[in-house]
Amino acid sequence: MVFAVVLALLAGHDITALAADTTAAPTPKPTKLQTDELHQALEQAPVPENLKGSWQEAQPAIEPVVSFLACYPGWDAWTHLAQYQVPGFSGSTYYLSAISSTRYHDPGKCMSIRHIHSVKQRPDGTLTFRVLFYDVDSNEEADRTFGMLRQANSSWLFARGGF
Amino acid sequence: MGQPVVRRYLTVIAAGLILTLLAAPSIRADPTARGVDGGISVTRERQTITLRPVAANVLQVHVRPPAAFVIDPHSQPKPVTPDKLEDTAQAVALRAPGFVARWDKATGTLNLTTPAGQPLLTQADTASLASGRIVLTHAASDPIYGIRGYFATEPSQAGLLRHGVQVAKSGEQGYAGAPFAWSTAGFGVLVDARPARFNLDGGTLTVDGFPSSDFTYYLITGTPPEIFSALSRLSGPAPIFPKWAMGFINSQFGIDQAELLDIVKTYRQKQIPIDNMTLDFDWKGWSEDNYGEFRWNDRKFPDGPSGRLKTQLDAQGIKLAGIMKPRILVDSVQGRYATDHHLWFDAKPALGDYFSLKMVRDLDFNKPDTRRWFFNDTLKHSFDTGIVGWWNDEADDTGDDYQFMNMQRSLYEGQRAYSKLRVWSLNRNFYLGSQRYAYGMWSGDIDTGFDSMASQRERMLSAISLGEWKWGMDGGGFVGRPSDENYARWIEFGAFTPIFRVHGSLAEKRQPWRYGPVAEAAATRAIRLRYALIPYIYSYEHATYDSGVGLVRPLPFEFPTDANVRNAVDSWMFGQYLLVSPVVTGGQIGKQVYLPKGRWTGYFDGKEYEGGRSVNLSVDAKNWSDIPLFIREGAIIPSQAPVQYVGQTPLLTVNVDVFPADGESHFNYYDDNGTNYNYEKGEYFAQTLSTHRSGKGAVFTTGPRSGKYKLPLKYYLVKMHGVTGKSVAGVAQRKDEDALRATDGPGWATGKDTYGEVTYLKLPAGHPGSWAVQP
Repeated sequence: MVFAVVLALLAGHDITALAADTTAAPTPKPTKLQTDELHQALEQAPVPENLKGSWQEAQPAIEPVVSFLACYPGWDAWTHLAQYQVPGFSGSTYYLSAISSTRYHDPGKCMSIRHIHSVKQRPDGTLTFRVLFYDVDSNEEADRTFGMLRQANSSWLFARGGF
Repeated sequence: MGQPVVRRYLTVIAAGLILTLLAAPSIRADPTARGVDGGISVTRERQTITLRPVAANVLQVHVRPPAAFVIDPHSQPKPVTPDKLEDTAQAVALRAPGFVARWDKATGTLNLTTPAGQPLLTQADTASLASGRIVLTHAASDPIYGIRGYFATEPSQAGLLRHGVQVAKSGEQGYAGAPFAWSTAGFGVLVDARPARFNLDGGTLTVDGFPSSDFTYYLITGTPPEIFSALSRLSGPAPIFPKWAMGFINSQFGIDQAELLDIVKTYRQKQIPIDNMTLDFDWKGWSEDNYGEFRWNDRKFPDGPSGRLKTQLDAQGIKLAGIMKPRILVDSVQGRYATDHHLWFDAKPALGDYFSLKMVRDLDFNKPDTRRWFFNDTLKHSFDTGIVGWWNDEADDTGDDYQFMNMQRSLYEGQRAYSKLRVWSLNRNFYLGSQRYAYGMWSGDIDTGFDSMASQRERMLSAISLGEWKWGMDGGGFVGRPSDENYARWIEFGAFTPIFRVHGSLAEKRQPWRYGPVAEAAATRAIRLRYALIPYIYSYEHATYDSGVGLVRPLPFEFPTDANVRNAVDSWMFGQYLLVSPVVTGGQIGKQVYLPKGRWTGYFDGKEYEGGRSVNLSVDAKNWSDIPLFIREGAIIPSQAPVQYVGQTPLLTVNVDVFPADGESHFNYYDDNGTNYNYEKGEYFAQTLSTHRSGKGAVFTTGPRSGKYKLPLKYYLVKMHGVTGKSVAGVAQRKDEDALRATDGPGWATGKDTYGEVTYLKLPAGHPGSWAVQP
């Protein structure tokens, strides 16, 4: 709850990103179908006209983060995603593992992306959206909310990592 | 409510089929079946299957000693003697009042039928039990309900029917789950497991995915009320909430003491009834050292710790509830205690709290030590100084199916050991069995707007369809600000849900006067109507405890043979006698409402309808004040005069609106002191009210009272609608309703109201009798 609170606390921060660490995390890899579904979800996300520019700017961060979280089962996902996160607030990235919400998903596989929805701008310079993850075998779903902040160089980093 | 009130467990009927698997051997054909000890025992190699009745309409399948997943550990079902047990060369047949179970020795097939022989379930593949899979077949056309609801942000489909793979788990915020599927065709399947995976494929119902090979399941037969009554007896009754919880609840984020008192004062000045203010993070010293999560924030609520705030609110009839979280500050006295005593939820590391930005960690409520500690002395002080309800948030975040139930279990057991006051709670997910701990649920952090509001209907009815009768939502929506119209319509919707509350995110205010005069008027009207109906509502709150059947009922529950309502969420029954179909679309000028077969009367205009068809209603898109609400023929609806909060004044006279039908109809009127658990010891008042038409007249009957609680209630003021009396034997005639009310004694009178001709009867409450209104 209370993403508005998080954004209010984080607004104005613009710190150089840290190094990536996703390759160090032991995760399954998405299948080609799952990768295609992610691309399709990104392309077909219902983005309001006035946010299309921001949405495009944010793609370099959104795609790898969503792809990683679809496959990573632990609670510490953001320790591997520091390069995509507003630095200095890693401890505040309250994250709910999508996979942990399932009971019958094979942890050796990635979850799939059904769609991205609810793309919104709350305060200026912010972007929020939701991702609906699903497991094709158990019919289980997990809907996660993400929040991003625009940086001075027009790149976007995550302030809220999926809860 | 059609049966006389009887104390729980005195009527526990019994029947059951126990099926015991020993080890998991290779399965051979040619099982040996025999009737033994009132059940059926089937043996093949190292596998033994025992089937036995544990209630009149319940067949228990027992694998190993019962593992208490959803079954109430305090009332493990006991075997009962079947009516008949026949062991022949071909089959073993077991007959109970509610079913016949027949094991065919040649095929190894179990057939479950009604006593009249109508097929319900068949289990041909008993060999798969050894691998932890239950495979049952039924008629492909049977509608199946239960198993799971929806989590808060999940796009839902407007429906109650379940198909395909469905997972029973406690799940994410807003989710409700139960290892229980049922059909209006007359059966239910309950598996004592958590979680469980159902696969509904045409006429095949498969359940597997148990965490161990030990499992017990129950095959239940009967009507929906009979099935849910058995479900309640098996998984445990839901204790009665405090009576104030029948009223209106304003949950509010981002206020301090001064604003709280101002809000309460305004409610009272405007005479908008309310019973509870629920406080978010603000009430407590969130993420502060020295047990901040358990104590008042004395900067925002300076009179909280001393009890002065409680005294002020008590005088205005307001109860407080406070948010509780499963996580606490790590670097703190309380955090170090948790570390030293191994109370943390091990699988989830410490994380930065989104609100305080400090490192916090979830406690593990599955540990008895955590549960004992959580209701600690600091929290007891908060309880003593006014926090008398628990709004438990975010315990779904661990992904553990027990965590939320055990968090509330901690508070329930702690409060019951400490205080006589009834427990109230609101939690963000549900699994069957949680109801034993005074466990309400709400649908999570939902969006505002008409679409989100409309999607709450299937969420509510789905949760109820699997055993969580105490459901509520963030009225107005949590995320965002509703339009004035949306707010008004949401209040009208909420007035006809089990837990009637509003809430919004930080700085969002949900008081009726924040949404303009039109919405305020509509909302006020709905809230007042809710309070008028509290005698009706509270009787169903008791019924939830007593018979496992509560206030809000999906239409297929009440009309199981009506194919038009199989998947209906647009309307529901509010108790047995009111059908409501709230307006959930903005700017709507008309609404089509399907009325099941029978005679219906418009609640507000008295217009009569013949059911079995849809009716077109005009909707007031300007004032938003109309609620499509219909009275079912045979209705008996107790109500009360206006009050601002529950218990404001002694209830001396209960109004009872009666719409007699040709057949007999009943209502179990119930009341008690509303505050403690003495009802468990017989301290209550219950009386069955009945009516039926008799020619052009009608009869009203009050049954013998039960319970030993002395109510202030003196009279029922019964309004026999559609009946013009010329005489009523045994009571004196008065001039009119006003004269009747003014007289301290029984009597009768005639008059007219919204519904036309009416005969009034003023009858002594608690006394049995029968009064014939002669035309």
